[in-house]
Amino acid sequence: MDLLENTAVALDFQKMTVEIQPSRSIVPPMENPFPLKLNWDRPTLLVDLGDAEAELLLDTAASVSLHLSRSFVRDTPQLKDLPASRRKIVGIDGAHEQDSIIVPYIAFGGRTFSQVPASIAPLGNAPWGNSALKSKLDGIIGVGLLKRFNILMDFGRRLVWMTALPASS
Amino acid sequence: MYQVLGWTMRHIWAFVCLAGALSAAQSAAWAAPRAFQLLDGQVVVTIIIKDRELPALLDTGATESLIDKDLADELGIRSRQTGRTYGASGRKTPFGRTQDVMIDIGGDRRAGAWERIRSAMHSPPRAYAY
Repeated sequence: MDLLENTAVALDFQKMTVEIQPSRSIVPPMENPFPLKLNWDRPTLLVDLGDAEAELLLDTAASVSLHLSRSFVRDTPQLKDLPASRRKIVGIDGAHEQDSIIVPYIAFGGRTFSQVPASIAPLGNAPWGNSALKSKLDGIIGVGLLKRFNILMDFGRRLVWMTALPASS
Repeated sequence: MYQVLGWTMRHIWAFVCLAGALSAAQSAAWAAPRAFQLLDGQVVVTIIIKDRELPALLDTGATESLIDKDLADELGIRSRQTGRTYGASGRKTPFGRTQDVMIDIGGDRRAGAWERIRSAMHSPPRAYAY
């Protein structure tokens, strides 16, 4: 049974507050929601990369802005030839270096971002053994971008509301 | 920064994974918004295990919950290694299973609310930073 099944999680990055409620008890915001897909119990969102679409995990424990799977970058014409640099990251299994690119355009939650740095690595690092390998993820949206919104993830209704914050937030 | 991370993980590594193991019937609801912090760019909330307030990562990208092996030992939570899992680099790291643990995630403590916490066996575990 999932922790968040039938719950809604509201993250207010302006007030720095979080709230977890039963999904049935929340009052949906006035704005239009976006579909929230559960990919192996993890919340994902379809995002627009210009000429391509990607299914990205909404990850509150990833500090970066964007992380893309190596296979997705390889298979996406507008990304595969972008110049890559190396950057050091730290994971549960220690420090290591990964390739990084600058993604020219990404749009989700009613907001568009340009020139977003993205680390690249295989996403076979799915959390728990073979189960993760069954789920195809194109990448991860981390807190670097999530904090540009107030977010309500409704796992019960499988919807997400994203309210863009002012650029200075 | 690494020192901060090390300190953070030593004290926080109750790894609250939102897609973890709380049953719907027992799901705790926070009556009011509660403060969180961004530590090293990660969402950190306060939980209580065995009367100890502990910072914990709120990780919507995880399918299970984790607690540092050393912290589990310190809290008297029994665990045993059961296998290995993947970290951010794709390398495997050992993990195990704990006994059932009661966690307060917001003033609404319920026995058995969390079925299990997976226990990272590496000490100290380090933050996910994709």
